[in-house]
Amino acid sequence: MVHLKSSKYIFALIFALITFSGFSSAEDHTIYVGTEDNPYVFSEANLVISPGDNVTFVWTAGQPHNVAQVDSATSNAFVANGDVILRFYSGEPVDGATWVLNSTYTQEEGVLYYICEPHAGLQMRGQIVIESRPDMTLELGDFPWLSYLLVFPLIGAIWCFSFRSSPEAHKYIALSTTLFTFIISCIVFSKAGSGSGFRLVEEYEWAPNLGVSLLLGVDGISSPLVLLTGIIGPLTVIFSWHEKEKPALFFSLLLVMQTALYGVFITLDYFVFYIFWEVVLIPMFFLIAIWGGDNRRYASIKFFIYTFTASVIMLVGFMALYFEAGVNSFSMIDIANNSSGFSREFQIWVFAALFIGFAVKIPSVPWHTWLPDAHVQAPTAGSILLAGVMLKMGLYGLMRAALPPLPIGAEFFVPLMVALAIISILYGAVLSLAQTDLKKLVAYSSVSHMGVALLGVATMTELGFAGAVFMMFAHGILSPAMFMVAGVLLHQLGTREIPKLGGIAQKQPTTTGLFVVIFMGSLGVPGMAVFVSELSVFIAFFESHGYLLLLPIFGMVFTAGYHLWALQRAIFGAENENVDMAKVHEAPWYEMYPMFILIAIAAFFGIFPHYLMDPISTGSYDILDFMGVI
Amino acid sequence: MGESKGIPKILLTKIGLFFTFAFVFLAYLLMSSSQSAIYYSWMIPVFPLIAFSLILMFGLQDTEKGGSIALFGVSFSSVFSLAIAFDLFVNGTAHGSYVESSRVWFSGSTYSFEFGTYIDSLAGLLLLVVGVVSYLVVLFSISYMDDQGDRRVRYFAEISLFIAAMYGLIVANSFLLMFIFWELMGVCSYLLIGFWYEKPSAASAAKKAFLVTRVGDVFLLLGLVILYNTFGTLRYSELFADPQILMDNLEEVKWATLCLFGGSVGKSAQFPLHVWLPDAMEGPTTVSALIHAATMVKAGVFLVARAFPLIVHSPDTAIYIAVTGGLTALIAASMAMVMNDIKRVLAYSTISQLGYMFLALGTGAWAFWHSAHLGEEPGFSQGYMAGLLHLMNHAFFKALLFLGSGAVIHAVHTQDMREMGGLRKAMPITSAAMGLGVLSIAGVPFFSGFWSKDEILEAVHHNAAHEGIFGALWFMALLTAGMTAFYMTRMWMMTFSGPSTRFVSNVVSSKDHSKTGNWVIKEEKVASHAHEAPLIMTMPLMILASLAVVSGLSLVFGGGFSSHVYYGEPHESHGMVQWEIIDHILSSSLTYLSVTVGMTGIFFGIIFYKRGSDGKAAFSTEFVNDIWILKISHTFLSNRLYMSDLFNWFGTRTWDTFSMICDWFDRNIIDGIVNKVASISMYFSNSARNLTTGFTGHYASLTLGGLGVLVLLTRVVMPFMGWSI
Amino acid sequence: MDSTVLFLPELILIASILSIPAIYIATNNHKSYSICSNISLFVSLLIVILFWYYPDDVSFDKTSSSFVIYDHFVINDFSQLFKVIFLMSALAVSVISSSYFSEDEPHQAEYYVLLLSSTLGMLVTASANDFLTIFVGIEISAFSSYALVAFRKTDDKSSEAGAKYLLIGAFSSALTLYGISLLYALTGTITFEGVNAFLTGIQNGVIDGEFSELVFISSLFIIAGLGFKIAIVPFHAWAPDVYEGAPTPVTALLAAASKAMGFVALFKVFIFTLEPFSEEWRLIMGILALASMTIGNLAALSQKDIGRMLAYSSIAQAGYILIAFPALTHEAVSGAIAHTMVHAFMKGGAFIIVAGVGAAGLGYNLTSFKGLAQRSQLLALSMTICLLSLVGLPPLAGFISKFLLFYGVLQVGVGGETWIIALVVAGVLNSALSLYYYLKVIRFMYLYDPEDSEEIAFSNPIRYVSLLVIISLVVVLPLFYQDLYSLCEDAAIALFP
Repeated sequence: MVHLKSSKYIFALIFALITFSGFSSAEDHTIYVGTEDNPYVFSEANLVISPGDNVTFVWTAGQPHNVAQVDSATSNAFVANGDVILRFYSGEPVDGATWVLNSTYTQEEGVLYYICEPHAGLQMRGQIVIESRPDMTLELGDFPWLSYLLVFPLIGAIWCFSFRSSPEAHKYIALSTTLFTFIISCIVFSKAGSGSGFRLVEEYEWAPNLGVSLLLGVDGISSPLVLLTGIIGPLTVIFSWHEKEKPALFFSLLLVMQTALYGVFITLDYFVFYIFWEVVLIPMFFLIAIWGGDNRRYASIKFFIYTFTASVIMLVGFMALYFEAGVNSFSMIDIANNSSGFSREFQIWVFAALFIGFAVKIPSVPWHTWLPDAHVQAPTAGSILLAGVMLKMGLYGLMRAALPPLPIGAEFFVPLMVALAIISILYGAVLSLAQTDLKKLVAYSSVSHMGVALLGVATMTELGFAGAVFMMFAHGILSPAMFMVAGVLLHQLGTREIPKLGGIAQKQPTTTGLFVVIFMGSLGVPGMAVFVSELSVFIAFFESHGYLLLLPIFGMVFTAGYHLWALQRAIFGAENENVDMAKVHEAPWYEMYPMFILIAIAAFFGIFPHYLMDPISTGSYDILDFMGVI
Repeated sequence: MGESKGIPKILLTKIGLFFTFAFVFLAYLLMSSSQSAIYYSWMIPVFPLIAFSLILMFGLQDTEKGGSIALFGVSFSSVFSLAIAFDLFVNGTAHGSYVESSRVWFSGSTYSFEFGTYIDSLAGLLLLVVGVVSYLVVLFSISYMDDQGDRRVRYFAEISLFIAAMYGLIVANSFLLMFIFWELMGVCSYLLIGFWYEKPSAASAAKKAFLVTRVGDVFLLLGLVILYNTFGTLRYSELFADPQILMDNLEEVKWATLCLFGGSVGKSAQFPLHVWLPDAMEGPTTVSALIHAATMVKAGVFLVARAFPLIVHSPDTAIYIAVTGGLTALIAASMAMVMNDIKRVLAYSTISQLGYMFLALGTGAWAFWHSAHLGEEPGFSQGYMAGLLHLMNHAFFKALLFLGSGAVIHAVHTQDMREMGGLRKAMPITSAAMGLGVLSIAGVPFFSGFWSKDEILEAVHHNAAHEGIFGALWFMALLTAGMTAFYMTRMWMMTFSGPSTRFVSNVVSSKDHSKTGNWVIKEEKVASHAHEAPLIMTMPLMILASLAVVSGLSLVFGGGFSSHVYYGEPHESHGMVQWEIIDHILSSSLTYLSVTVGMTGIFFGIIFYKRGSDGKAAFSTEFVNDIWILKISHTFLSNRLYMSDLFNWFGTRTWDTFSMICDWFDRNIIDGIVNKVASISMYFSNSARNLTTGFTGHYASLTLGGLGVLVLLTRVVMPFMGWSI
Repeated sequence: MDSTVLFLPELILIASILSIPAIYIATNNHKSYSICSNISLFVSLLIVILFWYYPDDVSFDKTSSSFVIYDHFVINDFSQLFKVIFLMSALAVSVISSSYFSEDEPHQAEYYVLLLSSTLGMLVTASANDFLTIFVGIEISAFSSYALVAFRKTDDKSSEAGAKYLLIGAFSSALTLYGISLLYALTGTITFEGVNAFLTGIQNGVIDGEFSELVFISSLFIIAGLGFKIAIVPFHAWAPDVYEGAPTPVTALLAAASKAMGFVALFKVFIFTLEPFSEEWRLIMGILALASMTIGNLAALSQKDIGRMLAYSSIAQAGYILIAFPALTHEAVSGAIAHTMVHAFMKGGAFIIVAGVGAAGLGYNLTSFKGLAQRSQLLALSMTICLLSLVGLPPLAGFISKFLLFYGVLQVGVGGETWIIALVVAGVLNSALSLYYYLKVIRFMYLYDPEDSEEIAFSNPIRYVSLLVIISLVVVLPLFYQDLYSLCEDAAIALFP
């Protein structure tokens, strides 16, 4: 009986926590009717609020002021674009009493004038200006660059597959296509610039009476990821230059994959976004399933079903957004611009639905288990695309599709996101410590790194967002390099098992040099890109959550630990007798150059981060400004 | 090995050429823009960086395998930094103030990070030290490493990168930029300790060094984060500009400074993070000399000195620093007394001396806070000055000692002092130079160590009047001084004294250290085939020796050290010789006390370890084994307080097991649930399949039964439960 | 005017039904039957489309239904759309049948006659406007398909399946008939309009008296009868056996056309006729939908025989379509129509490939698809596309139609009826579940090596048909799904204004 009661209290407490955690987005404003120094003024003569905020009038004790009695001039009323909407009535002054403004006054945009009738002549008048959130802006492109991004890899894929009979042609086709798309994505990145709003926007009607259209556009958040996709493309092709088994199919699948990834990053339409989101799975499935390792069947199917299940729930969330916004359009812009009326329950439910879809892709603990299997089984090229670009879809989707229309839902889930992020960071790092398979180690380190990025998003600050996106880019550059290391070792020694390696540094000094730099970069040494993002995220997280930072920041030690531990066992040390040293040699050019290029890029953006940070910051600021957080 | 005693002509010409180039370039810059050299401080780190990339590209073509390229870069940076030091200390440019240049690194609407250069007397001092030592070490290593073949390319590349990072750390204008170079130095240290990576001990020592310092670095980063979030900037000039803002956020300042000092504890190998430095001796001796004695480990001291304006607002931090320093000094010195590996003796001595510096800085900060607290005019902080003076002196004589030991090791191919002895005749220059170094570190009057150590002791003693704990610290420091004198003498005696032909204890097990740093040994009679190192190696020794002797005099000659490097009020200088300082020192009883203690240490060192004609010491140290307390403490010390064992146990055992448990959890619980879902649905699949029995009658009854269930559900169950659509 | 011309499609089929025996007597060349049936089906398909797009020339008003021969036979967008589906699938089946059956297969003439008559029945059903006509139509198609299933006398499985199908079919048509008779007893009319008007009257209280129980019972029986046609749980049990036993082209016909016919009947009866009493049957439909999609998918997980697996999958698909009935909006129904149509394509395509593999003598086991990719790129590819489209994976047509379906239903759910949201969520989760067994086939085709790796010689008809299926699923339907949607919307409006 007693504990029954107590449990009731506990439930009540939990419920209260849930309730209050969400309401913080609606701000409270107070207007003092008469102030200490001058009793004949309102403390706030001109107050700017956003819809849903609460305004409280507090009467100064002993002052005979009232606020805008009902039967007075029309100016004492709620006026939206010129015409009087509501009469405004407060009541007789009571000493020190407070009166909360009826929320019907502050729901829609407009101006609410109020005066004190006895002292209106003493300029004792004021106004409350209700402004809703800023709208997202679109800027049409001069030239259909983005649709080129979508079309060219696809054409390349078909072209490539049509040459499957010839021994060499397909790889050159693939290389030229990816290089071409790389150039285009560089152009896109430079043209997107660091201005606010979406650039290079194109719109193609698809199903107008459903409100579906191919709406393409990039902003500061997506253009770096477009660039990343462009960079990874040719490197993947080069690294798998000597693919023996069904090369034509292999390369065309890579190209299809690239198309889909571009599509995810540049579409601004929920429907099309979802299509590309799912299309990514198909080539990845075949890449793992056909060219994968021994356990590839299990891994590929697990990967496919796991991520598909999550994203169908996400689809329901998208449809709910569409209906609730009620603008017969799947365009993210329109829906976001009409999202001000979303109720709190709706936001929480829909954000939950979307978050499941994204968290699995990130992947965040505890939905990460598909990743190690997929990575270990996938061919190196597959892992490169998977870790380099695909893992970025989750957080990108979170920032692009979930946050703008659902600020309250996001705020509600911030504690959960923080918890998951911290767990991912530490848990992933500790697990990497235990791995003997180099690829699995990198997979878990990806979990850890993406945890840092998620932490950045959870801070809901500009610096945090910027750090998160920068981390996506940095991790997208360095984790492929890590997988290339694993690939090189696999090609030479036929194994990635760390205990079976060791002491191979003398035989390949240059390659070892690259390995060491890559590992150093990945563990967050300054001068490489990862450091910048970790710094930003940690600073932002301290700003938002204070000394809770102690937990994630000590992940840095574990991170350093497993990187160096792996390096020492796999590369350094005395010659391992069960390594066939005859097979150890410097990596061939098609493995060396990609690693070198990646290192160069990582170093460049680690030393000159502003090339990325300027657009990213602007994009992050736009989102936060739109959400009304900043 | 250098067969020719002299310096190869080609190398000599290179040295000369590079210097002339550097001077001409500097002169051209100064002429063209009539500015002080300070405004070109940003170039100092750039030169070694260029050298680094050049070595990576053309190292193999170079005759010295990159050595001369490194020398090229170092000459330029040394010339520039010495020019700046000259500007600061002789011309008195930016006297008592600073010269800063700043650019935006990256920024957004709500944040901004800057980078740039910030030169004041502190930076000038470090530039002076690093400028001298780095050049000499590079010069030394050209000959020292000449048996390493193509590996030298990697060596010189890494050491150039390190020097670049060190210079960058010195001229940085914000804690952020400083942290960046701080980390880069850590990486270079990792790479250089692991230079012989095929030795497992070297590889693991490198890893250990990186990880242990990383722990400190995390604290440092945390300190940065706190500072940034409190004051919105990490630039020195903005942080130190307004004491009032610091006063208003005392809590944040306290935690931030504590975290910053955490970084120093890691980098400068203070207790309890000191364990990595002795292991770091796995690297080449030149590396130990440059990184682990003269420059990198000084970065921690530099950091504390940089953060001094913050620390003087937080007495807790000051006391914590002082206590850590004093404790470390004592512990490390006591361990240095029992080590047989010459390099480890020097390593522990380094730790101990660093502790001295921290003791000084902490004391100074506390005194400054105290006097400000009492509301009186703080004046100038003696501890600050003393600590930095000791930093400079120690850099010289410790680099000297390390290079000397390097020369010895180069000659006898062992690091165990019990195998040495009688090298005095064989290596006169080295032994003389190292002798001077020993005298200097032992605090023999008028050698450099004497001045700084005396200043430190006086500062600590001065505080003891107000705060009891400083009394204890002063006593520990005094004790440490004695021990220092003792083990340094011991080292010199074991190495150089005695006949050239003697019994040596030879290694039968591998060259690797056991965790105690000792080996299984057996006696055998050999003739020493050691001979003096070539001039190119001894020349740096001589230069350093002379510096080790005179550098301390900077306290009293010229304007006086304290009138240039100070915190608070500068010491007003009269004339070229600061008689009142000398007078003060000579008239203070403390001086005589410390000198006596030092002399005692030297005396015992001599009588216990001076090798007689038979190579044995006059008095044997056997009595240690007879007295149980000494025996226990001896084993305890020679096992390095079992702390590195503790670290290894913690590092490998616990984390391995923990991560294994997590791995099991991940495979069987988290992933197990995922797979369980699949198997459960498979189970249901079979039961669903069984609806189709194959008998037509069953199908018909299934249909009717289905209808019945529907009726029940809609007409009975739902109304009963009160459900409705 | 003389509106018998509107019977032209049906008349053509009847004509060829009569002529094939004549050809049989004249010449014994089995090719000629298939040619005859192909031609007739094709011509009537053309005419249907013609009537559909040029209504004025045949003088009927396109939008509002135009009645001919009293009130029993209707031609409008709805009927034409489904007629097109029926004729196309029948055409595909008859095209591949010629290559499926070997030269010496007996009674081929009867086969084509039965095929045509079954199609005729479907056409009648599509146009039926009263309970009698619809029942007659269903039975015409049903009885001929019973015979078709049991067509291979020599094959025990085939004849056993035929027997089961006949028995259960008779049983459920009896149930349907009973439900219909109840309605007739209540309303005194058999035309849909009449019944609908009468029931609306009851709803509006024009006629007093409580009839809802009666309507409930009759709707139960009708659901049972028609549920047998579309094979929803618990009236599904025959489907696996029959799909497994019947000759594969016949299975294709059943899965594609006959199921669609069942849905046509359901639409006509429930969405339009019994709409006034929707409260009585909405919930039942919801429960049935949930049950069939879940049980169907679960049971399909562990199937070894491809025929049975696809049978269960089509049970699940029927469940998806069924969730449109509780929603009862134009969007939802048009989504349902779209999915019925696309499902005919996907399932028919899949079974045609299965027929091809079977005809190549590889058997009907899942393992018989091992390494198909290496033996025939085209077939493996088209099978993959059909299966992925059945999953509802973008950007294939299956996704589009399923999206339209869920979209329409969820609109009602978000509108306030939360229990319908539950249906949609169950639907999407089931699609994720179904992914497993579809992937299993794909895995067999791509990841394993075949027993013997020489190229399979597939007959041209199968190639062409599968190629058509691929193109329609991958290119045509997704790209023009705006038009697809408006077609279905028109059909829905024609169904219930």
